[in-house]
Amino acid sequence: MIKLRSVTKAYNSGVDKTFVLRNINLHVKEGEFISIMGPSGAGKSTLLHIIGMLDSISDGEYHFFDQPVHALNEKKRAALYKEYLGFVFQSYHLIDDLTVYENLEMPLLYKKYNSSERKSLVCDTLDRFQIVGKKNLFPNQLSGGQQQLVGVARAIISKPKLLLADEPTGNLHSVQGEEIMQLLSNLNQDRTTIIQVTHSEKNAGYGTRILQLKDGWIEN
Amino acid sequence: MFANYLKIALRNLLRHKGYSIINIAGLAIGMAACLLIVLYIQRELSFENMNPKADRIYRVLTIDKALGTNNQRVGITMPALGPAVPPAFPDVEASLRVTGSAKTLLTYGDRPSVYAENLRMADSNFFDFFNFPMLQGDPATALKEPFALVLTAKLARQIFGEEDALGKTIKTGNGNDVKVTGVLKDLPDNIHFDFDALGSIATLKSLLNANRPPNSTRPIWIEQWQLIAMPTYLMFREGSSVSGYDQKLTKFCRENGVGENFEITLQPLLGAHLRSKDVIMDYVANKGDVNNVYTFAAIAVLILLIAVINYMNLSTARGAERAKEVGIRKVVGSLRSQLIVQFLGESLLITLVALLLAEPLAYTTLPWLNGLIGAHLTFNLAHNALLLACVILLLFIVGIVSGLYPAFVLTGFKPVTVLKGSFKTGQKGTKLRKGLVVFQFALSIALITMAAVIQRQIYYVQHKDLGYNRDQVLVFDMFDRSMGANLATFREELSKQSSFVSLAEGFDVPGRGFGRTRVRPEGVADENIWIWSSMTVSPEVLPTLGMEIAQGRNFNREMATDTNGVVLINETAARALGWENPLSKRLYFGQSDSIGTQVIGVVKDFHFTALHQKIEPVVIFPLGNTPGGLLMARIQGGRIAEALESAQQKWKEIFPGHPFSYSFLDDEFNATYRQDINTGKIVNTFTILAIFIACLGLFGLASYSTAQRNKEIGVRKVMGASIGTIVRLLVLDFLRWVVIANLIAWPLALYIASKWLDGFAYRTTLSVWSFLAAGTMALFIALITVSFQAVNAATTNPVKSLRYE
Repeated sequence: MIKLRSVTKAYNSGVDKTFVLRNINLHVKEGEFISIMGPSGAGKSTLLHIIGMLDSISDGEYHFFDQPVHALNEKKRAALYKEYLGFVFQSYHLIDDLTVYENLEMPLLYKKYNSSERKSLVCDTLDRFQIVGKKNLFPNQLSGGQQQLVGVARAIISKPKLLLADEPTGNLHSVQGEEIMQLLSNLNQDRTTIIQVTHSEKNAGYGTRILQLKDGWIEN
Repeated sequence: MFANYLKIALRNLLRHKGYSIINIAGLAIGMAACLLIVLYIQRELSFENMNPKADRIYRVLTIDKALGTNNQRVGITMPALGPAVPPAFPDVEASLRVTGSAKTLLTYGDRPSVYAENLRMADSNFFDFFNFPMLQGDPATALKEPFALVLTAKLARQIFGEEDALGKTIKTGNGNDVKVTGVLKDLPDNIHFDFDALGSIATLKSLLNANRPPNSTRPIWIEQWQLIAMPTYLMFREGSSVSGYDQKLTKFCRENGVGENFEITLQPLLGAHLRSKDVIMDYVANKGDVNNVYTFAAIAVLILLIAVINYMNLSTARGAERAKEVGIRKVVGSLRSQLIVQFLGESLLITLVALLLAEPLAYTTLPWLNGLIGAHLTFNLAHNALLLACVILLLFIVGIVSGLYPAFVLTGFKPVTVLKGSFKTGQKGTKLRKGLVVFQFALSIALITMAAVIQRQIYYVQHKDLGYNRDQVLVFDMFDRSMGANLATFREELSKQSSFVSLAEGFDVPGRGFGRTRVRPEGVADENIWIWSSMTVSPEVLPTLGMEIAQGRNFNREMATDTNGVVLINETAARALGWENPLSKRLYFGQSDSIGTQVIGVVKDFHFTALHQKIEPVVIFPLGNTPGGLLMARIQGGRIAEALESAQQKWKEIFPGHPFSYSFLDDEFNATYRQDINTGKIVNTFTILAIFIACLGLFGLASYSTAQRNKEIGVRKVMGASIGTIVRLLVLDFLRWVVIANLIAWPLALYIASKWLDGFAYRTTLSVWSFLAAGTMALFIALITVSFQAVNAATTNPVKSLRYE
């Protein structure tokens, strides 16, 4: 599904180049649940963003379902991204001015669903995540766990093949965190490929594979 | 999708009420001002629009190139020229002559007499040129016969009441019987001249012929080439070109023996209202000024620009707050173009809300503008396609221009950077925002300076020593021969009243414009044609108007020789001829004059025209024993009411058939500058609006940047900074930019102000104080605006601002 070949990411800082990722080679098969771990500044988030096509690579190749992402133009990449990817963030990143229902609907608006399709998809998802009662509330009326629940729901509403999660439980207390991890694990069992960044060994345990990153290198 | 954008936009508006109010109020005021100015300009450009032939009609103006004149365009031309042109030039379909207007008494049977304020005579084809709708009568024949009179409906109603006017005979003040041959619908107010009664030139011709000496060989004046006297129009055939006609007509005049000093110049009828400011002896009523149209259009654009900059500044300053949304939307699949559409839509929405407020605002302030310019503008979108188009155009232009920059800035955020957390856009674009604030203030300061200069000039005009004293002077006009015959009696009676200090008869009053006459001064070669302004008055005019003798003496009633053969001149006349001792000199009038007239005195220069024009040489003739056409009366200070009352009483006794009528000389004087005073008022108002909008923006920006520096302020306070130090820190930062704005504004204001002052021959100096005052004022306003925020921030407990960091 994903093939990274000698991927490098560097920033120009004055005269020198600062390398964030060096020579990353990575294969991900459909249905995997990968956890990226490593100390702060190791490049975990950058790697996740590159896989998520939110960031570009400096050197190397990135193939997604045989499409050369590194060579695609903005528009094609966006199309690819729209079709296959979902994102979950540590700080949920819901839009404050929209209700739960509207937040869930928003990704669909950008994906050419008609209004009745949107309605049924949002209702299904509200149902599945058992948040029907909360659909008219605004994010700031929900607890952190509930907000992240909506965040995950929003990420998977258009049925992405790949779900990327950047420390999804980082802002949650342990009980809520476990619920979210259980949810991700269930999604994975339903054949959604998941890549998460996490600090917690316990959360990494939910996955099928762990990737240790240090100073931009993958450690084996 | 659209519903989603709308929801976001509305919720955002409501959540940030302060910003929304600033943006919407600024845009609403800006657009309301803009709509008012559009209405004003539309009216100024609408003159003669109702005339389908207007584009083929030209006014015949004369340029007097004689010595002693300022070589201005003159609104009248030779009476014989009009009728002679169409036969000689096939391009010209027809010509039309009109006379100047006269206030005339009209009486129908036993009904009370009424004045026609502006009675004019016109050639019989008047209605071919000007198709004013006629309610009764036949426009083709109404002005054919002698003693025919066409009335406006309003005047007809005053004279006849409910009675039918057509065909009725009424008596004029001079005792002539005239027949009403037509009643016109009341005239629109956007035409270049005004009249309420129109007689036929045939009337004039018949009267002149009747009074003609039996064996005179000279043609009556309305058939002469040797003088300029009549407003004249030419109508060109469709498709013919007028180019070269100034020269052709001038040559035609020469061939008919017109003096070398006269040249003809044509003015399109469509320019009569806006482009006649320099024309003297002009009958154009309510003159506009094309420069005012440009000025106000520029002001409208500037005010809008200031409001638009507010929007751009505030929305980019608030960028960080929207950045998260942008990031999320991009992450869930939005294209940048979709976000641009969203933000543009948002600014369109705000503009729409502002526009919905602007319309009632413009509607309610319109009477104020109407009062100023003396028009009857209406704000009616359904009946004014141009206004509707402007409203729609405003919506899109303002909406898109103000949204474009924020749209591109906000949507340029990278989701990765935004969503990572520690994201600050406050710093980004700070320079540009400050630049725009500088620009706004520079515009405001330029406007303040402009307003100050206009006010200064108006003050100068109203307080300048004119060489005569216009205060406390009443003018009584004699409207016909019967009144003139009793003027001496009226003067006698008023002179017995202690409330009148001094009374003078005459034909001319400073400020109304004098006639002109050809002069052959002693010792000047015949080919040097001098044309001077002339004034005919009784000796008392000097004390009555407070004019002074510089050399020689005034006319003396006691000296029999002073009724004829002597004149006074003004200082400019003496100077123009280089006469050191004018008192021994003689002036000759007319070709056959060999005796000449002696100059017995020189009066100090006085401004007998508006200060827009330079003082020309003047010759003052003694009124002698002929009855004058008017009486000037100086009233003792503080006794105006008493004087008016006794004047009215005497008037009733002496002129029983004439309704009491008078004017104050200073009112007439002020009327000359009405246009300038109104321009001043309009500029003042829009300047205040511009500053207000700029301050709204500054307030918003200051509150935002202060909020951004909350942490810094907190830290400084914890470190022991005093409130004063912090306020100074915040305020100085903004004030520095206002100072820079001054430096940009001054040269701009200097240029525009000196252009405006060029319209005056006599003008105030461009004082440094006007500029400093404008700058200081802007600085002060900015100081108040910013200090409010700064003090607020500085007095907040630092614990509050630091707690969340």
